[in-house]
Amino acid sequence: MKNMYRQRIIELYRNPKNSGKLEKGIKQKGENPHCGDITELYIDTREGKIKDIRHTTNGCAISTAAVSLLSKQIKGMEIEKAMELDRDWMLNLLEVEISPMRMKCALLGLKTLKKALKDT
Amino acid sequence: MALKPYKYIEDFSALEEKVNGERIAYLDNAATTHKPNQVIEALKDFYTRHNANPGKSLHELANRAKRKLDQSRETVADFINASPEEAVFTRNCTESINLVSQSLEIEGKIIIPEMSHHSNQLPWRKKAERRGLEIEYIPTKENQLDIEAAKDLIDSNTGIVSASHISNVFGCRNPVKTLADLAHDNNALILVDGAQSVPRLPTDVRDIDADFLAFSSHKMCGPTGTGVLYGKKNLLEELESYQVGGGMVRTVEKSNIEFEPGPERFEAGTENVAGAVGLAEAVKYLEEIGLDKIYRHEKQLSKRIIQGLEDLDNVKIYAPDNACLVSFHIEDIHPHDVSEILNSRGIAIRSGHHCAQLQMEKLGITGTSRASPYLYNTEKDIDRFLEAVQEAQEVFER
Repeated sequence: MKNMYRQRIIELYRNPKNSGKLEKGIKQKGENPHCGDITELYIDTREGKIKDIRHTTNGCAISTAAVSLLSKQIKGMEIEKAMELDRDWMLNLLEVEISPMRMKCALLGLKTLKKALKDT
Repeated sequence: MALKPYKYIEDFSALEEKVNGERIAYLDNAATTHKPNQVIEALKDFYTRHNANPGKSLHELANRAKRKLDQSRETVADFINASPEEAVFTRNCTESINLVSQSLEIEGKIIIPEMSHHSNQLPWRKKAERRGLEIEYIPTKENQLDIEAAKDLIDSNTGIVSASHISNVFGCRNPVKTLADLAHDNNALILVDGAQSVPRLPTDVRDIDADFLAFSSHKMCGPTGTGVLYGKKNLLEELESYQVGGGMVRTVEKSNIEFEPGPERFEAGTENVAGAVGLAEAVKYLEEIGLDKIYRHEKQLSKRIIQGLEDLDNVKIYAPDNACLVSFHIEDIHPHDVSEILNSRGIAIRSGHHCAQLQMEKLGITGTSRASPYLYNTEKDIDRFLEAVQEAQEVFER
C-alpha cells in the first residue's frame, strides 16, 4: 500500500504519456461515476493493429497513470492480442500494489480499451 | 465542562486496531461510528438470555423479548421527547424516509435542500415522478442552507419540506425549526432527516415541531440494520403501511383485515429486536456523556481542522465556521488519492461525492475529502490528520 504512490505513478499523473486527441479513428469514453474518473481514448487502427493512441484522462493518480502506461504498451499491438490483455497484465504494468477499493481506478483504461476495440 | 475523549476511548475496542503499524485515527464518523463495548455486551446479553420471537409466543423468553423491545422503544422515544407510539423501528434512516414518501398522500410541491443526501432526495424524486408532483431545491449559500431562498420557495402550493438537520457534506446545522414554521404556516408538512443530527445534537421533536424525524442507529454508536421513524401520532394513524405481513395485523379474515393501531403496523415481519436493544443501549451511553457536550467537542475539533487546513496552500474548505465535520479539496490531488495516502498513515476519512452528487455538480467538483470527528476523537487525532494531509501534498509535489 505504501508503495502505491511511487515517484513513477506521480510523474505519470502530472505528465501523462500520449495525452491528447486523434482526428480520426475510434473514440471511446469510459468512466467510474463513483470516483468521477473519466477517460477518453482515441485509437487509430489499421490492418488489424493499433497504429496510434491518445487519451484525455481526468481522474485520480492511479487511473491516470494506468491509462498512460497502457497507451505506451499497446501502440503497434495487434488488436487480437490487445483484446486478450487482462487484469494481471495491467497490474503488472503498474508495478504497485492496488487496494481492493482502487481496482476500478487501475482497470478503467483497460476496460475502456476493450470496449473500443470490441466492434473493430 | 468539556468532553474528555480519553475517558471513553477504552470503551471502543475497534479503535485499538492498527493500520500499517499505527493506531487508527478514525475520522469517518459521518459514515458510521464505532460501537462501545456496552452496546456489544447488550447485544450479547439479548441473544444469550432473552432471545425469542417477541409478543406472539406465550412463554417466558418471548415475554422477555417483548419487554426488551417495548423498553427499547420507550428509551429511544424518550431520547427525542416523543411518546413510544410515535416511534417506529425501521432498518435505517433511508428506510424511514422511504416509508413516509411511499405511504404519505401529498398534494403540492416537494421541497428539499440542494445539499440533500441521496437518501433524502431519491425517495422524493421517485414520489414526484410517480404522482406528477413538482420538486424544488433550496440552494446552498456559503456552505449553508440559504434560508432566505427557502422563505421564497415554501408557499401555499407546498406539500412537504424534507430537510437534514445537519448536513453530511458541510457539517452545517440547518434551521429546521424555521423550516417547520414556514411549512406549517403554509399547511405543509416537514420531515427532518436526522441521520447526522440525532447522534450529536440534543433533539426534541416537540421543540423543532417536526412532523416526521428519521435517523439511523449505526451513526450513533448503535448496531447496523436499525433505524427509527418518528411521526406525530395523528399523522402515523393516517398513514397506510407500504409493507404488510406478520406481526402488524390484529386479525385476518377473508373479507376483512384489521391492522395493529400502533407503530407495530409499520413493522411487518419479526422485528430486529437485538438492533432495538443495541440502539437503546447506545442512547443510554450517549445520554450519560451528554449530547450537547459531544456536539461542542466535535465543533472544537472541526475548528482545529479548519485552522490547520487554512495554514496550508491550495486547500479549499467547504465548511462554515461552526461546522461539526470538515469537507475539503486539495488542488490537483484527487480526493481518493488523499484518502489513500491518509490511510497508509492509519487515518480514516471519506472521499467522494458523499451521496450528494447534485451538490457536488453545483460546486463544480467531483468530490471532496471529509473528516468527521466524534466523541472519541482527540486533538492528537486531528494533528496526525493535518500532518498526513501535508505529507499527501508533499507526495504530489515530488
